[in-house]
Amino acid sequence: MPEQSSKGEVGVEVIAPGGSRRFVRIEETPFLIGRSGETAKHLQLKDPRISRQCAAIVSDGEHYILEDRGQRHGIFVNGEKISRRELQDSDVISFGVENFYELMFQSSLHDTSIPELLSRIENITSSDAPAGGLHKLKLLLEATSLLHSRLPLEAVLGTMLDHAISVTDADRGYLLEPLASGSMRLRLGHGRGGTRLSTAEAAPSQTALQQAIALQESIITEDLAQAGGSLQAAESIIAQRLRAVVVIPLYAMSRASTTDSAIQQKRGEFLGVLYLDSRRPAAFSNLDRQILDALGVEAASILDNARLVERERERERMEQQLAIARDIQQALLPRGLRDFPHLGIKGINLPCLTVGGDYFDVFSLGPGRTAFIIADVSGKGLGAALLTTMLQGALSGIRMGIEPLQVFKHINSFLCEHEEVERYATMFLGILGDDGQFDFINAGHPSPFLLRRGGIDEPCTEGSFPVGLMPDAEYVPTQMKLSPGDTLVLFSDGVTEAMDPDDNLYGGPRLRDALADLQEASLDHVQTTVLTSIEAFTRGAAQADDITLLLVRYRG
Amino acid sequence: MALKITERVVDGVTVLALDGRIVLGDETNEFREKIKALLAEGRKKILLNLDNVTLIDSTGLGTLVSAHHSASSRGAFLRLSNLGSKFQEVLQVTKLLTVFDVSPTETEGIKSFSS
Repeated sequence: MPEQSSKGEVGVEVIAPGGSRRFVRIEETPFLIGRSGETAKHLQLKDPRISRQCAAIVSDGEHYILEDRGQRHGIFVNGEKISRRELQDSDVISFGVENFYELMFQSSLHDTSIPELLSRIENITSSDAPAGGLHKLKLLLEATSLLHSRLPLEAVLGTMLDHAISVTDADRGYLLEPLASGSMRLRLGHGRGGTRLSTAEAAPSQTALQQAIALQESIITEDLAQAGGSLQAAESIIAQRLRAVVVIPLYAMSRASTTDSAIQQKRGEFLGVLYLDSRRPAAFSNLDRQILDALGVEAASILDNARLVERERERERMEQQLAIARDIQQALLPRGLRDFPHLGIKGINLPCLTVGGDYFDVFSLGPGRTAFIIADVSGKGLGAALLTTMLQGALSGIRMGIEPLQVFKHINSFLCEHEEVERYATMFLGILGDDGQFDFINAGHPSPFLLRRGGIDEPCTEGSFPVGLMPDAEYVPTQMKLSPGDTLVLFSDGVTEAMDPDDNLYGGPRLRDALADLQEASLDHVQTTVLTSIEAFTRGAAQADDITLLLVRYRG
Repeated sequence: MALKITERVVDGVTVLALDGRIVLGDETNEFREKIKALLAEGRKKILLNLDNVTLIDSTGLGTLVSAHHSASSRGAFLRLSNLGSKFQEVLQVTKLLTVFDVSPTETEGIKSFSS
C-alpha cells in the first residue's frame, strides 16, 4: 500500500463533459463535493442532477477515502458503485449520471517517483541524442505497461511535454488528440517548469495545426511576417500575439518497418499533435529539423504506448463489470442446495465465458412438492446471461402460485414479441411430489436421463418447442411416477455438445455410458463422474458452451 | 471456419447448398443476409441442402427458424433436405422437425414444391 502522507500534492482532476480539465488540490479533509453551498465548499459541480451534498474525501492520515454522502444516483469508482472506498492514484470517480463530470484522483506519489525512476534509468542507459530523455521515458512506459502496473498516464505525458518544452525552449506545450469527428481535442497543457495549464483557455492556432496535419510533417513558423500567406491571415495567432509556433504531428510507427526510409513511406495511424509556442519572435529559429523529427518519433511512440495502456485499462474496466455480472449470476443460483425431505439435489453451472446462458433453480411449492428448472438460452456470454435473469424472474411466478403452463406461455409470447432479441430458450420444469408423482413441462430441452434399478431411460422426450421461437406453441404437462431411489440427471446441451480438439461431440450415448452403474452412487459421485468423463473426452479443448448439470434423487 | 453457401436454381426452386458450420457469429450472419436478399428479390421457393453441414449450434437453429418465419410472412416457402443425423436429432429434441418440411434428398425436395 503506497503511503500518501508525503508532502506533495494530492487532488482531483475535474474532467468536464466536454473533455476540459482542471486540477483541484485537496488542502483539507473532509473534502466536500456536491452541488452548492456549505455542503460542497471544496468542489462544486453545478448541475441539478447532482445532490447538494454528494460525496466527501476523508483521510485517516495515511490514505484517502471516498464516501458517498447522498448522491442520489450513486457514487462510482472506476465504474463500480461504492459507499466507501480507499482511493488509489488515477482512480476515476463518477456520479451515476451520463455526460457528466468525472474526477480523477491524483496523489503526488507518482509525480515525484517518475523523475526518480527516470534518473535510475539514466544510470542504466546513456544516450547523447537530443531526445534521449524521451527515449528513456519511452523505455519506462514500455516497462510499466509490461508490468501491468497502474501507470500514471497524465504524469508520463506531462513529463513528455516538459521535455519537449525544454528541448525547444518554448513557453507552452500542448498535446492534442484527434476525435472521431476529425476535430482535435486538447489533452494536456504545460508551461515552463512543469506548470499545468488549463486546456480550456488554450487557443492553439488552428491554421498552423491544419497545415502541419495536411503536410504530415513538423512546421515551424518563426516570425509572422515571414510566414506563408495563409498563416499571416490566421486570426488566432494575431489574437494571442504569438510569435513562434512549432507543430509536430505524431504518427504511430508501422511496427513491422524499422528502417528510416520505410518509416517515411509507411506512416502509421495519426495519433495527435505536439504543439509548442513562444512569445519570443525568433524562439525556434535555431531549431534543427532533426531535433523536431526525433522529438516527433519519440513522442509518438510514447503516445502510442499510452494509448495501448489506456485500452488495457478500458479492458480491465470491462472485465470488472463482467466480474460483477458473474457474481450476480452465481448469487442468483439457488443457495446452499439443501436436501428436501423427499429428495436429494445437486447442481452445478459452469459458464464457458465469464457469464452464461444456462440457469437452474430449485424451490419448494408448499408441503411435499418441489419444483426444479433447467433452462438454456441460445448463444452464450453476456447477451444470453441477460435473458437467463429475465427467465428466472418470470419463472418465479410459479413460486407465487401462477400455473406453470401460463408462465411458459407468457415467456414464449414475450420472447416472440421481442424477436429482435434473436434469442430463445429451451426449458425443462419438473414438479416432484413426496408420493413420487412427477409432472413436467418440456420446452425443447433434451430429456433428462432417469437412473433406476434395471437401467437408464430418457422418459421426458414429450414436449413442445423452445420458448421464443413459435408464437403459437402450446405447452402440455406430462405426468409420470417415480420410484424411491430414482435419479433424474438434467443437463444442458453444453454437456452433450462438449467438443474434443477434433470437433467431435461428447454426445448422449457417452453421457449414458458415464452414468451406467451409478444408480446407487451418491449424487456427489454422480456429478464428479460426469464432469470427469467430459473432461477426459475434451482433452483440454476450450469449453464451447455453458455446462449445467442438475441431479434430483427421489427418496420416497 | 466459414459457412460456404452455393446457390443454384432448379425448376424454379432456389437451392442453397450449405457447407460448413451454422454457428453463432459470421456464419449465421452470412446466412441470415443471404435469405433476406433472396426474399427481397421475390424468390418464393427456397430449399436448403444441409448435406455438408458439419455442425449447428443453438444460435444456428434459431437463425433457421427465423428464416422460416421470414419466408412464411412473405408468402414464400423454405424447406430442408439432406439432414444429417445430428441435425435430425437437434430438430427432434426441440420438436422443430414438425415446423420444417424435410425431404431426404435434394431432388425430392425440389419436387415437393410442385406437388
